[in-house]
Amino acid sequence: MLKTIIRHGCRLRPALNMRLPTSTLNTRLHTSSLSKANPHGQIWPCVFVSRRTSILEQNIKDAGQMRTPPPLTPRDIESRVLRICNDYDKIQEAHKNKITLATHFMNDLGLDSLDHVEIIVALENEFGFEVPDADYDKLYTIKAVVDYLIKRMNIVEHKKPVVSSASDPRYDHHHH
Amino acid sequence: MSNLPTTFLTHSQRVCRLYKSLFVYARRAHWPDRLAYRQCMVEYRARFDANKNVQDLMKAKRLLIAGEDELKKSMHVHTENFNFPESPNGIAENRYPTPDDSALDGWHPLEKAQYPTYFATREKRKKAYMEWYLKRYGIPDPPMM
Repeated sequence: MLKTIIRHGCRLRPALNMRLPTSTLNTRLHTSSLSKANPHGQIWPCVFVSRRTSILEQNIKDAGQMRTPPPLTPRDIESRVLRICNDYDKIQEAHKNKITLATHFMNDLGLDSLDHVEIIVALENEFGFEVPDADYDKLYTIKAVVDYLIKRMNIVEHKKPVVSSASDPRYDHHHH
Repeated sequence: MSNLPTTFLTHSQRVCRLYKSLFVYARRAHWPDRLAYRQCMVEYRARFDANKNVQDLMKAKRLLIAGEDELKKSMHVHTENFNFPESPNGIAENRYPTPDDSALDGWHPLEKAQYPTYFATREKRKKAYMEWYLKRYGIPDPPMM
């Protein structure tokens, strides 16, 4: 019995010796609405059908999430750099949430050069690429860091496309 | 090429580079245990801070060279830099190069017809560049075989 089922690929038709009428189109339409029989008249157990349906639904859900993410803007880089610097404990001790773009790491926050290296390493881990030794010697203000990262990652601010008709919901500002 | 040393480094710059390469070493040695990596870096930081106020430059330099040697000896087992794979010296450096701009000239005309404005401008730009080149350098020699 088990051997038979395995050989016929889990179809129960030979085992049960059962065949549904598929000769005319009408009966075929009629049987296919039951979703238990495939077009060849073989019976599919309900578990297979429901499992396949759930897998397909999950695939559709996953595909909906695989959209292209929006491009990075200079403002994103700025906020990420500020978050990294705010998370650093010595900056938290020195100035709590008072750092701006013009803040100098050594003059304003009183850090030493090894702290500066630690911040650079935290930025490397955040952005996923290495900052060469010759480059981080100049990155003493947050503005310089942000400018360097923008230049390094080739980030440009795109203008919104001008379109003739506002009917397209992607470009319609009132719906957001 | 900014990773190649082209200038003379001051003492403090060498100390900073040593400290930063210690991050690289600790991350590789303790990967993927981030807690051990942080612990290791805190210990290194304490060792650096212990000699922060050394006034004797000869002694400071001897300490620095000792630290660099220690790093070299512990680093030689870690041959592959997987920290930042696409960065210089990483294991995937130049693995996905940006295709050359001339690849667009090989498109099929039907493909080019999908972007008519871009390819019309591109032809104009190419023509302008060729005119500029002829004006600047004259007719080029045939390529050497």
